[in-house]
Amino acid sequence: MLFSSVIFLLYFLPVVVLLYYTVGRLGIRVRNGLLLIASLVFYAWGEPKNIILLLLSCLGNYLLGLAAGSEKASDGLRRFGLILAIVLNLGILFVFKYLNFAVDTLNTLAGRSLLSVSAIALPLGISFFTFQAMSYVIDVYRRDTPVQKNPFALALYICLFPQLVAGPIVRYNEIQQQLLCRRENMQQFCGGLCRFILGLAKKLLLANSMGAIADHIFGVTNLWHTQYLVPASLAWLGSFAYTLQIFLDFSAYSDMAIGLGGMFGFSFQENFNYPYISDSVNDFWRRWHISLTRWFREYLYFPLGGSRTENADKTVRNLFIVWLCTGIWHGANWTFILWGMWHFLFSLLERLVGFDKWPGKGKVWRHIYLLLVVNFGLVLFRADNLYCFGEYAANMFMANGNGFFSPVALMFLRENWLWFLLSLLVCIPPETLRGWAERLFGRLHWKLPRLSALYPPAMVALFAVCVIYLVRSDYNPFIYFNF
Amino acid sequence: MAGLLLLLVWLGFSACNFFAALRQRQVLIEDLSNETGLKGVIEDVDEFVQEEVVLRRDMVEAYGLMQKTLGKHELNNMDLVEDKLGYLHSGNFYAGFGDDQRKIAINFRLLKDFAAQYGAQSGVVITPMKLAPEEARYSGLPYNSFYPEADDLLAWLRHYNVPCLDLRSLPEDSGLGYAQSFYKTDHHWTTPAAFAAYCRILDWLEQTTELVLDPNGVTRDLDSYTIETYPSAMFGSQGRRTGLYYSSGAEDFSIYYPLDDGSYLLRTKDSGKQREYSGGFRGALVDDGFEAEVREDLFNESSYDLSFLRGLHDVLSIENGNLPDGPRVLLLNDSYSCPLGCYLAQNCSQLDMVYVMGGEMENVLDMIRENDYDYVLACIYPENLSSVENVRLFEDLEYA
Repeated sequence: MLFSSVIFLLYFLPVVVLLYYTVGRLGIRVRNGLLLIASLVFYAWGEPKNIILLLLSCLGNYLLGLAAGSEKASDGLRRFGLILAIVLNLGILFVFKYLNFAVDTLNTLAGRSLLSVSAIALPLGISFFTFQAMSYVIDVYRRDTPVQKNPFALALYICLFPQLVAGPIVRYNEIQQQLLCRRENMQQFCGGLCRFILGLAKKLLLANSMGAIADHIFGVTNLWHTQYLVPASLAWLGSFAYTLQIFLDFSAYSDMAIGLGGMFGFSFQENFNYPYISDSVNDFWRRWHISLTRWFREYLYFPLGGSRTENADKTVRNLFIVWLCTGIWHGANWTFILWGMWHFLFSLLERLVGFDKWPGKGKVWRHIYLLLVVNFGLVLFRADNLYCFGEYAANMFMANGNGFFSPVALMFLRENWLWFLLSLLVCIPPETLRGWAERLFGRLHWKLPRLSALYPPAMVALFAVCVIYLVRSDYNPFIYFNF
Repeated sequence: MAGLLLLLVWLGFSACNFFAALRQRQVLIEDLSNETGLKGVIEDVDEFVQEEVVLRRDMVEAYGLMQKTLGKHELNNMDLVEDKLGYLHSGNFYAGFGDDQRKIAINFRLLKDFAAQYGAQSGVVITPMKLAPEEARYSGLPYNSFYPEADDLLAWLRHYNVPCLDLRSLPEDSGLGYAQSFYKTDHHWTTPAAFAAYCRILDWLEQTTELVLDPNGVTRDLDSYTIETYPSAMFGSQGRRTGLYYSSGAEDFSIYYPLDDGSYLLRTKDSGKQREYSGGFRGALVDDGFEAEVREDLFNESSYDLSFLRGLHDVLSIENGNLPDGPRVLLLNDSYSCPLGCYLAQNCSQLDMVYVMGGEMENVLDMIRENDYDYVLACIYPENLSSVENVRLFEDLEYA
């Protein structure tokens, strides 16, 4: 089930909210039970048979958590429980997400069909819930968090529908208190609802508009320059549109997830912190998909030694492994792996030259540098394969004899000027925008109370616009559902 | 405050939708009764709730209003694009990238040879499609055109010696022009354009075969008809996707009724269900109740779809009671041929029509064997050339 669907917005969520705040008055266990059932229905709605995988994952991680976190078990048994949990979780991920890719790669290297395997459909959110479950087992092994003896509470942690299919990846110790003794209040509920609607609007109005543009331009590029000439301006526009789409799409989902969590009394940590205002790649990754970066840092980078190693080679090795895994996590294609390597390269270079300490911090050229690196990397990320990436990159740099000017690019800008403008504004923190506005229009504090009176009707109007787009528009992709 | 207001509006709207869905539950129950798998049930429920949203029509209008306010000439991810005259078109970046037309041409040649064994001549007509003139286009918008595919097909048809008539320049040749030949809100041609095509086809058949369907030129003479215009009765499929506001409202719809109403028996067959209509041109061939149905709900179906032959059918047969010894023609058609079929029926003792994209194509060979046709005519709208699968023909025939 999608958050941006009629069934979710007008049927599922109202029923869950009403039951939660009526029947749920009977106690926290009832509320948790309701949320668990709702989460399972939510997941099964997309692909009914994958619910078995999810339930098995919950059960398996519960049992292995008991073993890994046992007070009475020997260290060896605990370690065995941990290793088994990691192997099983990664094994499931490998089979469903990477097996086809691995077999194809092997066959390509061998030059013939050594192995064959039927195409396996990717269960929704598998990368998220396996990582989330693994983090629980690792944390109980490390004694960072007590073992959860109630299987339903653990199942709720893994399956909670606001963050089940596209994150944020929540660490168990961030949420364990909230699972057992949270107190909902109207302010948090209303704040969550408003955040959800804002995320929904970001998705339906902005992300989808940018996505449509990117899809068209990447699509015609795949026809190849001998069939359809894509001028450089169109190629660059497509790359910018995708750069905006991926941030808007994913951050919108995170907004909706955090908002929904708030509606049920949960506080999730932020997953994005205006990444496109970064001025270095390392800064970018402190702001982009924060929960994933944190996961890799806590469970891979630090255990490998991080940057506190006896020699720089090991730090480089550790960085390489983390970026390789980051690329692989995003998908089963060489484009994702090379995208990870692209970021590894720049991250490493920045460390080597001490880029963060260079003069000119916050200057425009640094932002342009970062945006160009990220933008070009996302072309690789978006491309269907390396050939398509090569074609797209050649178009960007006029290497296909395709020229620069494109009436189609102008058309996209003309037709979508408002969405482009709003998308760019959404990428900038409100404080920065306020500072610019004050520089232009003078102090705003005396005007803001009048503007804040417009907030309630504006939110209602935004909700209405979202419903209109939901009903009318047939285009509603979610990029991170592929992960 | 904002959250509370939002909560009230959201829950209130949700409750309205819930009760509206409850009132329409029979529709869902009927859909679900045909489903066997859980996934199918889920898809049906999703579709049902999407279609039954309260104020859905108003939301379509509101969407159109928003797009108009934003000055947009494309809607819904290039699904529809508008030209400077306000005509709606399908958006298509891949115009010119249809399937190889050679296979379709070969199939038509096979059909021609097969029909010849049974004494029937054959030919192919390519109808015009609503293509915005250059001067009416907004720069950069991907106006749909399948004329490159049509060029390709016609070249192959000529290569394989299949008689063909290219009507793509009909709007200019007939003097109607682009604006009079097509509807703003629909991809189909207008009645004047369809009638002009009918006349042109008869001319062509006279010039290229011994078939003289209108020896006295009566049915090709506009004075033999009375023109009835139904104001604001045409709201096509493209307009229904954008709303009345965006598409500037419904258009007039006209029908040329022959002064000689004639006597016809129309038999239709769709998914095995058969129906019969007898009477004159008005009544049998053109549903005389279409206007009332359209006025009741403009968003349901268009006058074009409801009037001529009551729309598209898998297979239909028209017997002309006033011309028992006239020619017998098989028309392989798509939706463009609905008005064409009505006018052509005046000149035939029997006119059979088979929808080339429908499910009854397997019967065509039997029909040719059993019906002693004088002519087998295929009438194709260029957009149907986007895929070889759209013009499914005779895969069991061997090229001799």
